[in-house]
Amino acid sequence: MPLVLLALAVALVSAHLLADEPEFCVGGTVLNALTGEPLRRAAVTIPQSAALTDAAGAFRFCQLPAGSYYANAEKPGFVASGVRVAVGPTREDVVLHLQPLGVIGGKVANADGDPLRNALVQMLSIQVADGRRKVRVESAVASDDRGEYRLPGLSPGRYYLRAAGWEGAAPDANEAFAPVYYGGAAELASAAPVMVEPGRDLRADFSVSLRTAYRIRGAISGFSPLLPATIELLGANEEPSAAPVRLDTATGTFQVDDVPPGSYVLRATQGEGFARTRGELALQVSAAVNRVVVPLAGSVVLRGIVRTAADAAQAAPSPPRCAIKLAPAEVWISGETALEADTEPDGGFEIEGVLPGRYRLRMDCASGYISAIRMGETDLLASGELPIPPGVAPPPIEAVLGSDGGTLDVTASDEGDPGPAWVALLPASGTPFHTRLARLKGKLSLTAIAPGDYQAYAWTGSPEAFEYANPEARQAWGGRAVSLHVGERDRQSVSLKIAPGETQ
Amino acid sequence: MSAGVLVLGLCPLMAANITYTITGTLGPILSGSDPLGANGETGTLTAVVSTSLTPTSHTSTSATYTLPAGAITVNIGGTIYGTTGTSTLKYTFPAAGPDTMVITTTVSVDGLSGTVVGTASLAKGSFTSAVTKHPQKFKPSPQTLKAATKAGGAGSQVKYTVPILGTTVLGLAGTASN
Repeated sequence: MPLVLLALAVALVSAHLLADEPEFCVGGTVLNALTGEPLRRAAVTIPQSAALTDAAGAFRFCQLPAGSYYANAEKPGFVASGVRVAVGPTREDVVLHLQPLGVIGGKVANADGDPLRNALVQMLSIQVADGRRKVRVESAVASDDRGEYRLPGLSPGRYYLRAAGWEGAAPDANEAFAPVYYGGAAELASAAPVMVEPGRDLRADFSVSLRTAYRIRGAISGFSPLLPATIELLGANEEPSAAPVRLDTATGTFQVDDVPPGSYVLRATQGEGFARTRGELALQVSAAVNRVVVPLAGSVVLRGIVRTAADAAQAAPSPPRCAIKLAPAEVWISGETALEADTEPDGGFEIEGVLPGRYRLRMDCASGYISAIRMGETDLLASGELPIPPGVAPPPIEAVLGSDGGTLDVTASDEGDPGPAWVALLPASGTPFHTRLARLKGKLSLTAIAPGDYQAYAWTGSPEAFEYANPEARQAWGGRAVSLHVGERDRQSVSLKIAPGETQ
Repeated sequence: MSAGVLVLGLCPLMAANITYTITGTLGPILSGSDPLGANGETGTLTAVVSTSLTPTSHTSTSATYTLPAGAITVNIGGTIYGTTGTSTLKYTFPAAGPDTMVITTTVSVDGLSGTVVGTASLAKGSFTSAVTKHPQKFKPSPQTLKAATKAGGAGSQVKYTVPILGTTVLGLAGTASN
């Protein structure tokens, strides 16, 4: 009997506690953004719950505590879309518009108009990281025996198309073509983009010039047959080549077929994790190339220290509290990930597993701004770019943290979008270490800003919409900028007009 | 005595899940520039974990479980961030030092994908060695969480990484319960 009473008491207390927290519903409709028609069987998710829409495109979730939820909808053939919804009271008016995917198709032919089979066509997207362009291969397909290719299921947006070379072995011996972009450009920088529109088919034909192709043969020096290895052929501007590479994993010898004349870099990588090795070899191809050797070199540890500048206003300097990121400087996105480290309380840091190559260094510090930074004799402040040569331990990085930075309180002006928005504070000096990118939700305080002149921007949508490290992009957005000067220990407020952030 | 037997017997029928809740105030900034402005905000990380899970990896002092999409909810400053994809839960109970519970999840941050790693530093002995077989509750519950004083150091902390924004580590002072 006492047990029954105990259980009853627990049940009553539980029910009372549950009743104390009001619950709400959120419902709405999923529509085809192009036609406005409701979409049946679209999958709608909010945190911890999922449902399919009914024949009228409707969905509903209940028993939700008050809060802000991100509702996401997806359906095959459409671009997934989401919206943030404030719940409490109940909401029944959420509308999610899904854009139908697009298609690009066309033909690859030689200069005489004859169709080419097995030509690899790649669709490239441009992403922006740290204000710089990065190129990603989104999808690729080979042309058929009529020279036709088709890239379906594409999200609407701006892309670049490239006929990259043969997919696999050349259909006709000893002939290949250099990569060509849609419109005929030989390089991405001068290529014209293509716009994929929702639910539309886009035609893009290529005409390529076949040239005598050559073979590269060689070996990797320092190769171990027990470890995984890759070898890549990179063309101009480090563009990955489509030329087929065959590596003998028992001996480390390799062969690259169907290489058009030009300048290349062979890059070999072996091993896993911090034990990886890498080697690069530049070569000019105008005939068959034999017996080249790509020497592997091990990774190194990049060490450094961040010191806080002497400051009469502070009795003792506080730890720098910096997050350090070392990312490959290449424009084309590969499988390489950025290496990261945090400073110790004494300012020291170590980044292990750094392979030879070009890198871009980023330091985000809580206690101040980078006022000086060197690696040996190399001043890194202007560009943040550093080379790691093969087989040589790099000199330590020495950075000085300024503690006399200013503070900027940012709000959205009444003229533009109320936000949330992305805010970029770009130094006139151009140093990437003084660039700031942050999220504005009502009010934003940027602290430890290096004294100097700046331009401030605010925009909605994706933070990748603004390629701020590109002077042309900054010029294009120049009308949106607010110029300001930050003085030592200065605190000021700025009101920014938030503009739509269309992709450039 | 009979009450105790009955209550124990009911438990497996009542709940096959454990809900871990880590909640508190974020800060100070231990590393990075906090571009999302999380410093000083209240934060809650909730994980609903099935007791039937088996570890995807384990050692004599740790166990790691993979959690399905939707198992984790992240709330920072009243904004609930949806989790995308699977998450991981890792317990460590080293011979020296406190036990820890580390939850790693991928979240959508205003349309961007980012990673959040929450580390709750619990009292030594909170977990038993049997925890390597299946997720268990820790004891005692709730426990007070003391904020770490350096990134990656002892104490509780939250790390968020959004590729375009960099990485920030914040201390976390609050409570952990299950």
